[in-house]
Amino acid sequence: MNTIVCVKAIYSPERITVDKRTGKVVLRGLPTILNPPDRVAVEAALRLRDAHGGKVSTITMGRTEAEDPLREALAMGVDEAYLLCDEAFGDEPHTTATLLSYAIRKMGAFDLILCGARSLDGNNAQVGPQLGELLDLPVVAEVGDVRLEEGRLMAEERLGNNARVVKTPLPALATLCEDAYKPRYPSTWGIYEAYHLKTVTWWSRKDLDITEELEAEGPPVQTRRVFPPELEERRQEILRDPPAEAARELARRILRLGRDG
Amino acid sequence: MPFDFSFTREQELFRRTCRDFFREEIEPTVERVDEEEAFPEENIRKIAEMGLMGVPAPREYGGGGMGEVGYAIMLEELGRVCSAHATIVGAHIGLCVTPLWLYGTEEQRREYLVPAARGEKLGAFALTEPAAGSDAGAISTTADRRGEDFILNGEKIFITNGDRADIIIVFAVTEKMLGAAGGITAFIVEKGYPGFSVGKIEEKMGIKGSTTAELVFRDCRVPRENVLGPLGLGLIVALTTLDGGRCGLAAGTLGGAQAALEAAVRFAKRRRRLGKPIAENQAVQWMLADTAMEIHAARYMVYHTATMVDEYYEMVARGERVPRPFRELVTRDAAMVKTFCSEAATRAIDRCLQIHGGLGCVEGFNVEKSFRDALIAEIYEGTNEIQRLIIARDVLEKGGYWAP
Repeated sequence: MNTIVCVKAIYSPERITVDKRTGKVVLRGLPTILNPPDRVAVEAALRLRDAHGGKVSTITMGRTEAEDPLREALAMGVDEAYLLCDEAFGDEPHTTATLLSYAIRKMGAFDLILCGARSLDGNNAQVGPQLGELLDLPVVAEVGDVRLEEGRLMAEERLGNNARVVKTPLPALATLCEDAYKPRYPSTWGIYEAYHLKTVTWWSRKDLDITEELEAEGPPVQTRRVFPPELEERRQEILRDPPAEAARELARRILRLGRDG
Repeated sequence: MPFDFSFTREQELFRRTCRDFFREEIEPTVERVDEEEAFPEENIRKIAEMGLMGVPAPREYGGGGMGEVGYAIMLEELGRVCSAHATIVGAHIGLCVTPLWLYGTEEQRREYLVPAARGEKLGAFALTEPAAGSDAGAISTTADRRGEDFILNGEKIFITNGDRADIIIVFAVTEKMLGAAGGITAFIVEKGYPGFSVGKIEEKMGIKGSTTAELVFRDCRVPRENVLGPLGLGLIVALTTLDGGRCGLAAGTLGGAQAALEAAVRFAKRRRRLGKPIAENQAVQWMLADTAMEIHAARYMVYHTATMVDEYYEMVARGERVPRPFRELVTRDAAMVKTFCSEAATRAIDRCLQIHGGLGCVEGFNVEKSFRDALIAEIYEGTNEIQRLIIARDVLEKGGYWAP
């Protein structure tokens, strides 16, 4: 059972401050951490490995400081890590998914790809499903549990208040919800191994056999503006009178609303 | 040469992991542990599973390989959450794992250090006696030779983890004529040895989750191969161990000081009196500023001393001769950091309590517990008065503050 976990480095939300003048989040100097849902995906992969053997690899596309979260995954018990790092790499979801697909083809055979359902910073929830499409894999998104039964993946999809268990042949791709599992803490021994005994392989653009001209037309999704949504004022009140009186009261209020505009 | 004083990426990840783990897994239980005055067995098991019971020891002996800086990081983070837990772990690592690593033979390291560093066995350190605390050289527990073995007789008091420990480093007089300098020997005692028993367990005002026991030795036979370090040089084993132990203890109190400052800031911003948050009052601000300054100084002292202890311990563990000036420097600095940090912490917690007003004295508010927990740090592992004697002796001898 060889699993590849795609992860993302995000700035630690713990010490984020907002520049009072520009209204922008100050990111400089913040430590990078493993995106929490991705940590859950790592946990899921490690559990599958503990139960069925095999290997867990992890990969991310990011800047140089993205190495830290990879080390964190290695400290949790992941076997090997890859960092796609190149000035030329954009960070829009489609570009990320495309580059990951090239890297994963280069990494060799695998049975399963796991991703966090979304990143806490961008919150697009796009990379996982797009990657699945690019690699032509069955995709199960936003799952709360993954298991292996008779060589097939059983994944519990979260659908609002309901859940649906999906069975799919391998290889496949699943994205994990943040609360699916409680991720393990890296042990002291694991942290030492991550920094002294395990390696992070760096790949740049020239290491991937990219045939497309990714930047030709620019990324398909472009961010125009980031803004807080305008909030409409809403009120709610529950009338607890007996039905007949409640109906009269309701009618009175509606009439008043109509009159006052 | 730049004055680089930053943590490595590895140390940062280690700190973050410790902080998250202690906050999420240990902190929710500390109030209950204090109330029940019970040894937090389950918590210590979890801490052991994380590999935190042997942080500074080398990996080949089951340790974390993170050295004294890693040890200080861990205790600083644990000290933030609870002093009783920091005391248990500090006594185990600083006073049992460390001497086993520094002075153990290869066989002793395999037999005792490995399970201790892995957290499978708990350790303690038994030096203090009813008539010998600060005056450690005056101990009267005896170890008489009988054939190849030694027979221990005497009592030890105030032994942290004493009733729980599987492995106890015990100091006893092997040659009374030679006095403290050549007549005391360190022994590795297993809890199951006939003649060893646990006496009274103290009831304390603070660090209630940590147990403090009296240990009794009545014709307790200890095999020759359990002598730790050179015969007759037990006091050196003890003092060398205590140098690092004091630095670790200081790190724990530093964590407590930071938790107190953060609690004080949170409260001062929220609490409104006379129409404004009390944090806007200069009297409160000065208290916060004083605490922040002392934490700043304490933090640099702790990690600077930890790097020196690291170097010192590496030399001792390799069996190298440590140059006297360096040894004296480490001893002086360990005394300074222990004294400064423990007192900075009690001041920080005292101010935190004052800022909380009446609520600071109320049970279940944590400030009261921190206050009760803090005071012992000025006493154990060598009272601050003894530390000041060590510092003063060095200052008088060197003619001032000496730095290489």
